[in-house]
Amino acid sequence: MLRSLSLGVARGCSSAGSLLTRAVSTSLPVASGSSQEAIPGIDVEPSADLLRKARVQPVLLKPYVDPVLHNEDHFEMAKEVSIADMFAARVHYGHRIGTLNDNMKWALYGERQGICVFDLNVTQKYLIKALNFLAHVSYRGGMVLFVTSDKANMLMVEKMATDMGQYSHTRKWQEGTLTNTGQLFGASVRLPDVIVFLSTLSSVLERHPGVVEAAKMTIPTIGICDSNAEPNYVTYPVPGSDDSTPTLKYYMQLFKLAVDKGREAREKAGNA
Amino acid sequence: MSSTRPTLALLTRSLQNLRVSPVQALQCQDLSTAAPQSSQPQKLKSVGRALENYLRNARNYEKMLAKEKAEFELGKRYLANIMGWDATSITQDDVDKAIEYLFPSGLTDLKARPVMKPPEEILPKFHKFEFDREGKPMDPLFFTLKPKFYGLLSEVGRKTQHLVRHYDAQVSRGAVPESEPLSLAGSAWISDVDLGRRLGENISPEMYAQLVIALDYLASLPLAIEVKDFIFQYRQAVVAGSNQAVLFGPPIPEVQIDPASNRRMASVVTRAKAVKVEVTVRDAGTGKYTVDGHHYDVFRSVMARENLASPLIATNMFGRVDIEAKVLEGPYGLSIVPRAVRHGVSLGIAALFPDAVEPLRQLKMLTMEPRRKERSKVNQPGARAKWIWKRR
Repeated sequence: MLRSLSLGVARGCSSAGSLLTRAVSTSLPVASGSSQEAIPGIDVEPSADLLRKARVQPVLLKPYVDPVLHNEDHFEMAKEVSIADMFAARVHYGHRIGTLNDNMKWALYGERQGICVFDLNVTQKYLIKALNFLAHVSYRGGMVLFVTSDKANMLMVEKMATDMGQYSHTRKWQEGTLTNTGQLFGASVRLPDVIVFLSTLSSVLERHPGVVEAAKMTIPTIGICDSNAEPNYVTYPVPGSDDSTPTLKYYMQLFKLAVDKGREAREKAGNA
Repeated sequence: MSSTRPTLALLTRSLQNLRVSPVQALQCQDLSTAAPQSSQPQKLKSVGRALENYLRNARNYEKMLAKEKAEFELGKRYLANIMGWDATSITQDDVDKAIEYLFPSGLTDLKARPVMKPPEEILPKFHKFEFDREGKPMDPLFFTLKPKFYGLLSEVGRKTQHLVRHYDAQVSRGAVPESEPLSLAGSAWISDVDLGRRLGENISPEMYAQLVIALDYLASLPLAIEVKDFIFQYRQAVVAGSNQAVLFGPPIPEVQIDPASNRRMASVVTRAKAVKVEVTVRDAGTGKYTVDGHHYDVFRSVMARENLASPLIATNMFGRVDIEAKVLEGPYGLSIVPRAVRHGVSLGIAALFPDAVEPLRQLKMLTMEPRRKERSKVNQPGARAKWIWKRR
């Protein structure tokens, strides 16, 4: 039941999120007839009775959750993501209308002269969610893997990932990299905690095999989904262009910001 | 924030339970911040189970290897005792010869024969990764499966990009950059085997081809001289005088210097049918031509003499080279020795004079005649001939 509160599991967690933001002033739950502490705190585990009630009303567990997770935009990513910047970085350009994937129609503003145009309000909303999640993973000391098949931008992505102290994979994806580590690496290894796809399509314009492998291994993914992409298996899809270099630079700068914010918060909490 | 561990653990445990690595469940317990450590004396610094397994395997491997090494050293001392050698000075060569003597084996597969070698050479290798204490790999390209190779390829790509941009920037300013082109004469790209050994990774032919294409392009750029040091790290000097084609081609021998007369010479052993000959061709000669010590006019047949002289005719080497042929083995008939010697002489001349390769190749004198006498079968007079067939 705690899964519904965790930020990294399902795309459709907006219901839990809205519950969290809506019911701030709920009366504190009192365990009836239990010997445990009545007043909850972050030091105490909730009683079985409360957990049972929380199945229907997850917001009851809010006092027991780390304050860092109370606010959906804890790392204040809304300030960093502006529609003007996205427009300047050409995020709103999709591909031609003939290549539109039905599962991306929700993210489009419309079509102009045969080119799909993304609704940047939608993009902004999803980008903020994704950046916050990335920052939280970095805050917990997690491993991030940046994946792209775009040969024009692979060196830039590799360099920025290395500068962040994270990992990158811009080469041909070997099937089983995540699911068959015993055979490919010779031993089981620690897998990335989140995988960021700068493009969810491979160089032959099919779904990138890493997306499915990450889903099989229940590794949360952040994916830039263009108008011809399939967003189904991606945990945090971000609708937007995945083609031009300024666009990818814009995304990578934001990802770097998120990772750095998370790391700084971790260091600050470590020193406090 | 002083004691957030229980609730954090609760939340992170639920998150972590979602993700398992294929072999075991990966439960990294220490994902909390470093804050609680000051208040909690026993800090949870346990690494994931995957990493625990890896460390255990590494330790077991080290122990096993130490044991095998000790046994090998003891075995060498026993061997010295048996063979009556001095125990202190034994080389691996001696050991190999002794094992071949003590355990003679007729097995055709050489890998199946008895062997006594240091354990590192025989036992399966344990690939040591580089991780930090949290189990995170050190190399940012770790998940590409060949981090060192792809790191090198990316390095070549970055240098190429830099040179191209530098050149374009200068051209756009109007100053066409003049720099001498990079000279790669006398060297070849590092072989894939050597590269694999240097990087510590297995490199497939396709990967090697990719790298060579990238390096070739980098070396061909106008400003390549700026990255000369980097490029020459991956060039190997080619031994002077070896004009042997790398992939395929006639086995043209290497040119040596004859110590006695200080002349260039090339020596080759060839076959024809059942006859094996050794032919030595020396430069700066007077036209001597001997077969088994006799001058070639012991061959009375015109065809034999034509065969023997044809390489010299084709390349116009009469009087320039000295030829010495020796029959090594085989029963031989009248015309076969000249054929074998002709092939040997052609290879020798091709080695000494690279310009002669083309005319000899076109006359098909550099290729060995591979045909052998076919065996006779039972119930037949010969290899193919049949007895007279009668209908009834």
